[in-house]
Order: sequence, then structure tokens, then C-alpha cells
Amino acid sequence: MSVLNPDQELLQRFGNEGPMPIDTNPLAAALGAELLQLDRAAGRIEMRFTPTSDFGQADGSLHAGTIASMLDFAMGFSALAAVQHPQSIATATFNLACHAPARPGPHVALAWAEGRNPTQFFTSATLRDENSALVATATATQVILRG
Amino acid sequence: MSLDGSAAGAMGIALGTRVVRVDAERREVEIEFMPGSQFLQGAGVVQGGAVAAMLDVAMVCAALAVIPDGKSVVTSTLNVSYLRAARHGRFRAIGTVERSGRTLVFARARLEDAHGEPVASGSSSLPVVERKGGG
Repeated sequence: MSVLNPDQELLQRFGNEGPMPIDTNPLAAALGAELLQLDRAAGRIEMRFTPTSDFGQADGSLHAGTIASMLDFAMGFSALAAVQHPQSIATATFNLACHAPARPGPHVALAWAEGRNPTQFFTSATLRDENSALVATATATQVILRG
Repeated sequence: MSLDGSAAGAMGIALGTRVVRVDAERREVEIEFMPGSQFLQGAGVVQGGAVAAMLDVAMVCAALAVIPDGKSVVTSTLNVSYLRAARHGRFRAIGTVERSGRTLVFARARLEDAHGEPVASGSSSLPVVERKGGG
């Protein structure tokens, strides 16, 4: 029998009671991830991240992989919140567009489900900095794992 | 080219980045990674963004190897296909330049695990920009 993913357990108990730090996996914790809002029915999630210079490049801007991590977490969590254990999800494809350089500091990712079928989710997301400026957009497909 | 983890910044160091080979004629680079455990997600595998980061490093390095001195590149778009779960361990990426113009570089990369099994593939477009200090 498959073990419940701790991220999935956290999403199940979140009740929109305010920001919830995500300490269930090392990368989310390192990125200072917090769950802000979750609408399971609509597949919509809002998360805040506060990456430090540890996730930067030599010129001080955030690495594209860091931007990808924040958006992948948001889109993955929006899909993961919509399935019940022992089902889970895995990202199959991910497309990122970097609109502007990102600096270490607070960022808010908003992800939503564009649609789903019995085997896949189709999700989109935006990432904005602390001034609400658009940093990046992304789309992804997540396959539903049967457990 | 002397790009190693330190030149790629803190992220490059955390990913355990090491440039193994630069083949200018084939416009191809080979890079090894040993990402730290901080890149794991809840299911215990390397998170998708960290996989994207390794592909991105390979494609950026391939692009840097072919553009003129005094120039640099930034990642504009990045497309990733996740072929299998990335179990924690050592990875090898091959980055290749498909086309290099005056304003844009198109690159591809594939990522393998320590057993040579394909983990992910990616493509990106990278605008050519003036190099800033340290970048």
C-alpha cells in the first residue's frame, strides 16, 4: 500500500485559516514556501515563496530553475489537492516563460486548473514579485498516478 | 570556458555542478550534477524545478560556449518533458546549441541519471545580452 505523500496530507488539512508554512519537504522549506489560499473545487491555489540569494546566479538574479521550482510547486499542489490518496500526481510536461529578471525576496505564485480528464490535469500559473510585477508564467500537465 | 559551480552562483554550487566537457565543434557541453537533499520534494524525489535547473544550466553553458566574448545569455523560455522520477543521486546533462543567431540562441538538453537512464529532456530560447559584471 502506498504511503501518503506529506505534501498531500498538508493540503488535505489546510482550511484557509491563513498562511501555512510548508515544511513537509526540503525544497519548499528552503524556498520559504507558504500556503495562502486553496480552492480545491476550482483547482486554484495561491502560494508565497521567499527565496534567498542561495537560489541565485552569479549576477544575483534568481536562477531560472528556482523560478521553475516555485511555479512547479504551485501547479503540482493545485493538482495534488484535487486527488484523494492513494491517487497522486506527477508533472509530465512543464513550459516556462520568463518575463523579467527575478531577485531574491517574496514572490506569489497563483496556479489554477485549466481542465482535467481521467488521466491528466492541465494547469497554468503566474509568478509575481513583491511589487506585483509579473516575473514568469507557466503551463504544465500532470499525470494522475493510481497508487 | 571555466564555468563550474561557483561561476554559476549559489544555485550552481548547491546543485553540485561540474563541467565535464565542452565540444565547441559540436556545440555541445556535458555537465555533471550532484544535487543536495534540499532539492527533494514530498515524494522523496528531486523536485521538477531542480530538474529544470539542471537542464537550464546545460543549455546556458552550451549557449555561452558559442556566443561572442563580452556577451551573455538569459533564459527566456524553457520547456521540459519529465521522462521518469529523478531519484536522488548523480546526474549528467548534455546541452546542445541548435541555432545561434545575433539576438537569440536555441538550445536543447537531456538529463540522465547515474545509470544512464533518461530522466528529462528540455529546450529553451536564450536572448543574447551584453555581459554584466560577474554574470
